[in-house]
Amino acid sequence: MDNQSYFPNYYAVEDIFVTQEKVECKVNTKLLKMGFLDPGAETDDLNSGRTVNLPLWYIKELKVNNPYFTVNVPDIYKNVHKAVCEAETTHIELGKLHPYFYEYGRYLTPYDRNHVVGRIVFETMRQRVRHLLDISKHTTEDGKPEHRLDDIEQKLYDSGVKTNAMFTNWLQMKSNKIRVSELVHEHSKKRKRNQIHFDGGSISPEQLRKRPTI
Amino acid sequence: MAKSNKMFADKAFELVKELERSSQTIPPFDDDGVRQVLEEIKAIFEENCAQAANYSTSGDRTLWPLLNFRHAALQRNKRCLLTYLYKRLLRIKALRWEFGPIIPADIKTSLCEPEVNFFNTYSKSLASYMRSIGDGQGIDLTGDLRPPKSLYIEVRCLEDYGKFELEDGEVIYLKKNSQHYLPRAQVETLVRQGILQHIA
Repeated sequence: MDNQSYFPNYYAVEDIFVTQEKVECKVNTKLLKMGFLDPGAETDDLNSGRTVNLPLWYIKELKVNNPYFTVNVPDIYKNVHKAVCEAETTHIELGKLHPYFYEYGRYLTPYDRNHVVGRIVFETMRQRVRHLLDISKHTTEDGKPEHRLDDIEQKLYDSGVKTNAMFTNWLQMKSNKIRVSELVHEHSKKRKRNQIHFDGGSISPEQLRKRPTI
Repeated sequence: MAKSNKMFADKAFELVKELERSSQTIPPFDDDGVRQVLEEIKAIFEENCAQAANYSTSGDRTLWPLLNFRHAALQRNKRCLLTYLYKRLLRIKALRWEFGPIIPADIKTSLCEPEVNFFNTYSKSLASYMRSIGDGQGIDLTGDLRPPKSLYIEVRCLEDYGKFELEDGEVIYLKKNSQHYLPRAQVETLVRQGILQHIA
């Protein structure tokens, strides 16, 4: 699945992760027997005026102008807004703001009454994609960037680094050896680790006592 | 209010999350987790059914949002559960291509019975397809796609493998740390499986 372009389908794990996120919502009408959604509720019902955190997988099933809840757009998008205007988004540690910044924004766009989130998401990516290309081109094995990236950015970055490495290998005609399959390699490493672990677990008390003198 | 902190469909999400976090080879099948999710789905469905039946007699609309929420939770559970199974199938398929037709014993213990069956059937159809192509000779599609530079390669043996018969009938003995000069096409799989190391 590594070399497939990203588009969320029914089985897309990324999409499942995003839709697990909670969104702050204001309750507009009294909802019978839904008090379990509100940890601070004292009755079985959800009263109007309360604020609850609801998962995105529920919110996205509702109509945007549903009579029950009003969605509050999270502050992270408001904070990025200023940077977008000043065209300085490359300095933001996007992964720290939200690991799925773009996808989350995409889901929230319809609920944003000021119509800025959609533009922010687009502009941020537009401004950062060049920068992303630059850092992935200049990454060597020991010099990794410290910036935490958004999930999509991370994938772009990884494939950039990988392509670059493949290109260098091709130029130097390095890649003619048959290599151990990655899966097999990982598996045998794990087996070795387990063995060490196992040996370590069966040390007799005598050995333990000897150890400090060594 | 005991369950106020636990959200619907959280368990199903955990399944997917754990699978994503695990390393490349396959983690053990989470029997217990899957069963719990199925139970939750069943419970939600029954509650919704009861409520729907109630609605058709009384016409009381006040509980609709609740019905709606539970239905969304049901769909969510279903999605997570199917994704869990599907992603595991993808990994099992990858096993066939990387490890060959026999799964290492310690990996096999991680699979549940239908998954082992799937692997065997998949392996069989792949093998019969590979036999059917290549002008009656068959082609091993799991091999390396890069064109070879030489027909013979030098390999070092990394573990005691035992006897290995070449296509011309010659039998060689693969012992740990021994070195051989062998036809590339015939030993490629062994290199991929980490038994031999390609040194020149």
